[in-house]
Amino acid sequence: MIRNPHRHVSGSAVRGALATQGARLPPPRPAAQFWNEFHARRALQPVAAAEGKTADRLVWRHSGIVGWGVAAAMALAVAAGFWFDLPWRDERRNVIRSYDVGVPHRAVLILDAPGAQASILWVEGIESSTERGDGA
Amino acid sequence: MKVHAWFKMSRIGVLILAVAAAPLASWAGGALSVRLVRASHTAEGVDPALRDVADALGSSFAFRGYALVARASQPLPADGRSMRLGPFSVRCEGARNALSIRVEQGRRRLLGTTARLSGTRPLILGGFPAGNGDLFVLVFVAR
Repeated sequence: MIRNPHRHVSGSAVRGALATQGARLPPPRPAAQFWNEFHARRALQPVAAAEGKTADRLVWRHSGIVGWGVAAAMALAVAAGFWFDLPWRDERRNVIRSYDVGVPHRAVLILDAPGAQASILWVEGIESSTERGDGA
Repeated sequence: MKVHAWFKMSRIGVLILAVAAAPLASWAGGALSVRLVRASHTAEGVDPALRDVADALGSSFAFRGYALVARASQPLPADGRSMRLGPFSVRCEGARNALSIRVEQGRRRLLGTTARLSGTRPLILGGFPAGNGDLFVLVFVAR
């Protein structure tokens, strides 16, 4: 069975233990004086890095670099979106990239305006199959 | 400080995923709906099955009536199988950002096109004679 080493010890117990050893408690000081001295001493003492925390501190210290790296990655992603025509590029619009008409016709009309409600590829003047005599 | 640092970085990661995941998911999958519509100068009215594209048809053409003749659908990316729509055979292949469409009537290859379809607006291929002065149009919608 493992006992908890951090047992609570009361102030009177400490005073009793010191009295049995013939020691005296230091005289009480005003709180403001104590903290002033504490901060002064802390400023003089170099704080050693805690063991096992080096990697975490490294990440934290270089979080600015990490942030810039993330920003650069996002910028590259947006550039790739434009380059490879990914969805977030003007997603609401259809684009007719190419077409070919395999039958005699008079004209081809493309309505592909950004403001239009539909994209239209219209072949004008197609001969009907009955006119050609090769019925479907 | 460790928790704070990783929490900060994980927030950035979640933000990137949230921004990128939704459009990529919609782009990769979905379904393609194809409808064959007979556009007429004589018959009036719009077929109830065309309600979602009625505004697009009405604002683009001057026909008086639109009747649904046939409809078909297939998942995206399309696998290239042939869909029979009235007198036409329609073959679609590829994802919605580069969808290849071939329209044939019997042995005749009428029209081929490659297009990028958005998630909201229809693509209309038309001008195919339907007799009596009417015309067929094919309406493609990717969802």
